[in-house]
Amino acid sequence: MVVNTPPLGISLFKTWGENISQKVVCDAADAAEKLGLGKAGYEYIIIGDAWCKKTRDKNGELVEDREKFPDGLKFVSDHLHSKGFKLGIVTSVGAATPNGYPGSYDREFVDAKTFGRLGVDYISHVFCHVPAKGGFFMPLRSMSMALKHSGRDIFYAVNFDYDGAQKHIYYAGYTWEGIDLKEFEQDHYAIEKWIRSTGVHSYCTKELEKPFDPQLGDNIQGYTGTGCWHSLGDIVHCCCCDDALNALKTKMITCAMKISPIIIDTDVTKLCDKAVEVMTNSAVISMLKDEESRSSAKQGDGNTFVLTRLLCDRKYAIAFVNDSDEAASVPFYGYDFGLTYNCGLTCKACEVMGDEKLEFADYVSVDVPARSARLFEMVME
Amino acid sequence: MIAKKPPMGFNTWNTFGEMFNAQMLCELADAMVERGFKDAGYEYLIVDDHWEMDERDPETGRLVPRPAKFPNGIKEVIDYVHSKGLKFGLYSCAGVKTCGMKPASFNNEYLDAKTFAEWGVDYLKYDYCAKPETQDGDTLYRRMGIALRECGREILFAACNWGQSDVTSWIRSSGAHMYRSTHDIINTYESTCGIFRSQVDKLGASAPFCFNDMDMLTVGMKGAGGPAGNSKGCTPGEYRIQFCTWCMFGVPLILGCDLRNVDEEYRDLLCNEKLIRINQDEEARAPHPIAVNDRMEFMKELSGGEYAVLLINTDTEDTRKGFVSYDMGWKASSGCKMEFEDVLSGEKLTFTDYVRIPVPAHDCRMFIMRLVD
Repeated sequence: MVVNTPPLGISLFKTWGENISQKVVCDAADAAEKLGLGKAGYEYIIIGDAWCKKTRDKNGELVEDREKFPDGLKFVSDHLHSKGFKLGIVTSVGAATPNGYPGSYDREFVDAKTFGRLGVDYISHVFCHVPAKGGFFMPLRSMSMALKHSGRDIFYAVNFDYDGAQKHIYYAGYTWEGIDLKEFEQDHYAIEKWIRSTGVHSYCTKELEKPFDPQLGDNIQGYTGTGCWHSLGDIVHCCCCDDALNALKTKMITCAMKISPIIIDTDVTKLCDKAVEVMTNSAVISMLKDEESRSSAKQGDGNTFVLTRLLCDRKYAIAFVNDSDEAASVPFYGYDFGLTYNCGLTCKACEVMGDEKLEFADYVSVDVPARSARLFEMVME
Repeated sequence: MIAKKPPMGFNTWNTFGEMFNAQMLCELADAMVERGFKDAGYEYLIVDDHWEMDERDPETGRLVPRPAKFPNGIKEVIDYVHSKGLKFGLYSCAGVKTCGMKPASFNNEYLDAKTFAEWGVDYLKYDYCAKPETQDGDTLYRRMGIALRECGREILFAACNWGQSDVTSWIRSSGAHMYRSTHDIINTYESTCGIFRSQVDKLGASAPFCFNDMDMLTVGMKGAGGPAGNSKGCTPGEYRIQFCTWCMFGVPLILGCDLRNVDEEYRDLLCNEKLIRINQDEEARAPHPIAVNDRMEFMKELSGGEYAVLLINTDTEDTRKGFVSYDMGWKASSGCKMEFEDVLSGEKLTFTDYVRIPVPAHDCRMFIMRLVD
């Protein structure tokens, strides 16, 4: 499956966990449609791992939990499809999923067939409870082969941010799969270097953890791009206070600048207007969906810095970031960006989700509140 | 949208170096069309170093095409190339002098980009010689990346800093569509193998709109001279290794042989539709060694559920390569068999958990692999 731009989606996994049900999923899809999330670009609704029973049937296949999903999962995927959404589920690279449901280890082909049959469009393959000798990239290669053989186009996301993932690099990855241990210890690029050779479309090495972690993924901007993006993980959003809204806004800006899929884990039926406004901001989404999917360059070394991205059609994205506890004035130098004394160009920037306008050639400074980012769309004249 | 797939074209450097002129360039453009290279996908006719005068124009500060090479100016050649349905490439450098000691673009990036745009240039190779030591490569390449975006014409940006200055960490952000990752190629088997072996684990940083560039092909050059020339050249099997590896690795295919007189046999290889399709695959995935060893066996996920498999025999003896399907990701629980289709011969093989393939010495075999019920 060829994927040209990072996707947007809603996750119900962390918010609902094992309390997921047919009603919860269908209500979420209905609410998402009503709020215009589909129109804004949100494609996937990822329901987590608790849709099936905790044991497989006598054929070794996954069994839908008919107490939670009385009409079965195909009913749910059909319902989502009718609303213009696609269905995602969480499964495990290993023997069990985070909530203890059966993992796909050594059953990639069996499970991919099931996913195809049930109308699944996206899997989040989490690196959880993987047998010590189970390999590192091999299960991903098998799952990718299996998904491509499932009869369905299925987006393949992998999440390495679980206990023990690093251990596997040491045992299996190094011994059998060509991961250079010394290089991993020095640069930690073992995953990034090879992930594009698997059929994975997005991979998360470490999830956004702090309310705001804009420095995540800084060092691997060479290993993200069209068809295989480095993901910053799910954005968990659960209330409508100012802090939560600011965090949501800054994480969306971070994802747009780092070309990470935007997956918001939340109760869609409880989203307030302000949150929806942030989530559906068309400028942010179009930056994420820019066709060339160029990664960002960074100016500034400490916890205040500026990220820039070259976009199509002579546009530029520029984000002033303040990851400190106090308000700060964040400088930007045209020279470090690539402008010269004789380039004959002036930069004109308009704030996204804000009102400021900037015009400068050599230097500009933007006031950014603590733990915030301010995003601008820029052109040159 | 340019460079969504690895760019394909021809460059003067390998065979001609500085020995070219307008007449030859037009003949090369003719050959590119008449001998089927254009139909096979080769788009860009690129003129490398030594096209310019030794000094800029004292009044305008612009670069000046060398009158001895371009008696009627460069636009005439560019227009001719365009009239054949081809695109035109030119060359400059991020430093103060090109590698051939001609004026380069440092601190003239925006003027030069505008100049190229006015002439109708479609592709710029951007070298790294004579770069100020106190300037960083990242910013210099982004200067030209921005300059090319703002110049008024769509120009493919082909960076050429030979893999230096930690290039993979910043090149995609600079606007480059491809980036040279190695030193220059020479028309020998050793050079070919040295280059692709050095990039086996570096294709994770190659993706649509910014591809790892392993340098121009020497396929078909045989004993011909020029900067990349070598009196021995390579055998047909060794040229097969080069072209199949460049296709497998999804890197730009820039021809370096003399298009006007390259042997039909090599023309056929370089225009092989199935091999080029492997190179131009939409998903642009990286290849990987099938199992961790030094036997040079690679596979790559293609779109549409197929795979490419390349087996290279670097030994001086014919050999049979055997491997276990499990190591390719296949499992018996799939209920399927594997099928290999030899891209060059059309031969098909079906197997389940193990296969053994003969590969002649200093040669290779390329297969499309698929699951069959």
